[in-house]
Amino acid sequence: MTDNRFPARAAAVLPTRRQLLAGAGGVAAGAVLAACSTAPSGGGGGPSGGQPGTGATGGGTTGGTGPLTWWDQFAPLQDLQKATFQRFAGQGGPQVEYTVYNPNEQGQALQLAFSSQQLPDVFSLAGVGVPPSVLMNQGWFSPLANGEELRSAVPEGTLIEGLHSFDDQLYSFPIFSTRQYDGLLWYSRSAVEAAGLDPDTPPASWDDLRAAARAVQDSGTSGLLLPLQFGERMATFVLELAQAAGFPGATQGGSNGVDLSTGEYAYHHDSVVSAIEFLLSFQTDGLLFPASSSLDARAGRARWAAGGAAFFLDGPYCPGVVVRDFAAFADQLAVGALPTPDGSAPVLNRTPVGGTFWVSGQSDQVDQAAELLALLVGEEYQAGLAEAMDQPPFDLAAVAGSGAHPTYKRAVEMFGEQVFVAPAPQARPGVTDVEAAMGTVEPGLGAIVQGAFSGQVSDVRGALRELSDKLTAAREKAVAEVGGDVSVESWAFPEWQPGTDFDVSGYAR
Amino acid sequence: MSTTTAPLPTAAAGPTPGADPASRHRARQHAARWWIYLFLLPTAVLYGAYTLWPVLASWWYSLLSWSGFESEKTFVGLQNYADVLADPLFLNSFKLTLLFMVVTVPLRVFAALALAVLLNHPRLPLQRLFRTAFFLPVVTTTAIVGVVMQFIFDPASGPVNLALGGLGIPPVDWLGSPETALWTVMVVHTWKWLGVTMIYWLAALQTIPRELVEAAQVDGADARRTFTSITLPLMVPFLVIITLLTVEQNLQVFDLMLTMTGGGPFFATEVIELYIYRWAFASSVPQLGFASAAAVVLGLVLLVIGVGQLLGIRAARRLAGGGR
Repeated sequence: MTDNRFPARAAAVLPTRRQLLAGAGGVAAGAVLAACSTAPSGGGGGPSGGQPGTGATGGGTTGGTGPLTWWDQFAPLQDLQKATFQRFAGQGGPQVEYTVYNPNEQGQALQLAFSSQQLPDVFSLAGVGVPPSVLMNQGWFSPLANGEELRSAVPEGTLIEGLHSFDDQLYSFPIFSTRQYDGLLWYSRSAVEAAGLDPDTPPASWDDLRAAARAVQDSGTSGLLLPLQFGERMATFVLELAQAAGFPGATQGGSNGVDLSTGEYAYHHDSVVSAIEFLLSFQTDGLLFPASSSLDARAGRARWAAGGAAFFLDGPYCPGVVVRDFAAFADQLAVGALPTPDGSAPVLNRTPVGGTFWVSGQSDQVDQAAELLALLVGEEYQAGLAEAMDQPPFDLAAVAGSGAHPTYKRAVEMFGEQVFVAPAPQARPGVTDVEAAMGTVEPGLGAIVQGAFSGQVSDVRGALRELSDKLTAAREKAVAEVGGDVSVESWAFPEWQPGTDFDVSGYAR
Repeated sequence: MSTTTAPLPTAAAGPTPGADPASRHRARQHAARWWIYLFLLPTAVLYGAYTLWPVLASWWYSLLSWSGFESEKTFVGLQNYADVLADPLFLNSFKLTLLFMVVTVPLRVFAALALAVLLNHPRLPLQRLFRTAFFLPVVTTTAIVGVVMQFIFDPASGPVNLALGGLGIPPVDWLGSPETALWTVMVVHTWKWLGVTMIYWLAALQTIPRELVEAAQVDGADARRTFTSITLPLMVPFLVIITLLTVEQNLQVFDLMLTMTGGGPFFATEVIELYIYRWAFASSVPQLGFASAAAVVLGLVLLVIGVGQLLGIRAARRLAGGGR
C-alpha cells in the first residue's frame, strides 16, 4: 500500500520543469549575489587550529604542524635548497615540500592559491607585478618574528623600509646582491678564435662588438644571438645599454625608464634610442642569428651554447646553466662587460634588490618558516649560492673562494666595480600604491623593441615618446586616485649622482 | 505510535488503492520525472560549475577593477568595457581573430571535403591507412605540435628553409616575421585539425543513397557531374553544421598560438584568446576585470554571429521549402 502512496505524495511536491529551472536560476542568482561583495575579504585567515601570531598587520599563525610548503623559481638552486631543507629538518624543523616553478607559471599559481587560501608557507614573487607593499596590505605576508636576528646578518644598507620592512617589521630580505646586471657579453672562445680574434680581449665598445660580430659572421658563424621573443629581457638589455650611454636612471623595480634626476618618464631619451639602434644594427648588417625572433632566453642560450652564434647577452646565471645543461661548452665560455659606446667600463645603477622569499599570511607555521629563512643568511648558504652560480649572493666575497666557474667569478668581480646602488622611489610613502594603481601600459619597451626588429615599429623614438606620455598620464591619474603626499617628485633624487651608491638617509625628502 | 499510512483526504494526495488507473498513471509519470532529474543532476552540476558559473563570474568580474592578486575589488561599472573598446590592441586582436576564422574555416571545411571524397572512393587502396594518417595530428597534443613546428619552421636550421634553400630560395623567418607568422599558424592549425573535419564529411558521405549514384552513372554522369549534381546538394545541410562546428573549433587556437608565436612579433598573432590571457595572467600587473570585459565583448560578438547564422539557416530552409 505504501508503494502506491509514495508516488502520490511525490506528485504533490514534484516541481514542474519550469519550477525547477526557476529554482535553479534563483539559486544561481543567489550565488552570484553572494559573490558580489566588493569588500575586502581579508587575507591571512589561516587554517584553524593555530594560535594568534605576532599580532602584526595581517600575518598567519603559529602552532601548526606538518611539512612547510615552499615555492620558488630558482631552478639552478634546487640542490642547494634541498640541502638546506634537510639541514633544517636535521635541526628539528619540519620537512619542506618544495616546488620549483617556471617563473611565468608561478605568478598564476600564486594568484589562484591566494584566492583559495592555499598559499605556500614560503614563496618568492616570480611573475607577480604587484608591489609587495600592496600585497602586504592584502594579507599576503607574515612579518618575520626573528627580524632583528636577520637585520644584523645582512649587509648594512640592504634593507629598506617600504621594500623589505613595513612599520619597522621585517617581512623579507634579499639573498642576492644588488650589484649585478643582465647584459654581460658572453661569447664562445672557439668561435672568436676561428674568426681570428683574441678570446682574452672581449669587445668593449659598440663598434668593437659590431666588428667582432662581422668577423665571426665572415668565418661562418652568426655574430650575435638575441632572445627577441623575451620582451622583458630585451627591455632590460636596452635600459642597461642606455645607462652605459648616459641615461640618468636605474634598472630594477618600478624605476625603469624614469629619469631619477627629475622623476619624469624618459623612455624617449637619446640614450634609449641609441641603444635600440645599436641592437638593430646587428640585424641590419646581417650579423644576427636568424632564429633570434623566435627565441626566449632559455632557448636562445641553448642555441648559442650549441654553436649557433658567437656572442650572447645574458646575466651572471649563464655559466650555472651551461655547466649544468651544456657541460661540453663550459670550457669555451668567456665573458666581457656590457659594451659601451666609447669602450670605457660601464657604469650601471640598480635600485636595491627586493625581498627574495616571503612567509605567507595564510601560514599556520610562521615561526618555523622564519627560522628556516634564517638559514639563508648564513655563510654556508651564501657559499652555496656562489657554487650554484645563479644570481650572485649578497656576500660577494663568498664567490672568490668558491668552486664557481672562472667566468662567474669574473662577472662578479666586474659587478663589484661597475654596479652602483641607485635610490628606490618605492621606499618613499605612497609610491608603490601609485605604481600598483597605474596598471600596465602597452606596448611597453620590450614590445617596442620587438616591433622595431620585426619592422612594425618604424619610428622608434615616436613609439618611445608615446610610451613615456602614456606612463606619465597613467601616473598622474593614479596619483590623483591614491592621494596623500605622493607626487612626481617622489621619483626624483636630484642630489644623487649616477655612479655612486645612494645613501639611504636621502629617502627623506 | 502514529503512522502516515492513513489515506490523505484530498485529490492532491494521489491515488488510493481504489483510485482510478489514470491517477496511478500520472503518479508514475511524476515519479519517473524525479529519476530524470536525478540522472540530469551530474550534468547540471558539472555544466553549472564549469560553464555557467565561469560565464556568470566573468560578467561580474568585467564590472570590477581587480588584479586577481588583491582581495579588494572595486566596482567600476562599464569602465572596463569602455577601456577595452578604446584599446587599439583589442581591435587588433579582434581583427586577427576574424581573419583567422575567415581564412581557416573555409580552408578546413573544403579541404576536408575534398579529402573525404577522395578517401571515400571505393577503388582507393589503403583507405584505412590514409584516414588514420590524416587523423593522427588530431590526437597529438597541440602544445607539442606547436613546439615541434617551431623547429620545423626555424629560420636557421628548420627543414622547411633547408628545402627552400635547396631550391635557391632565401630563408624565410616564418614565425618571426609579421608578414608570415599568422599565415604559418593558420596552415599548421588547418593541418592539425583537418582530420576531424574529414571524419565529419566521411560520415556525411555515407548518407548518400548508393542507388542515386548508380542511377547517375547509368545515365552517363561522369565523376564531376555526379559530385556537383548529387553529392554537393545532399551535403548542403551537413555543410551548415560542419561549418558551425569548425567556426567554434577555430576560435580555440590559444595553445597552438602560444607555443608557436606567443602572440608576437609585436602583437602580429595576438588573437583574442591571447589578448585575454595576457591581461588576465601574463601581464606584470594582471587586470582580471579588464580581461573579463574583453571576454564578454568577444562572447557577445560571437552570440550575434551565432544568431545571424541561425537566422540564415532558417531563411535558407524557408527558401528551400518554397522552391518545392
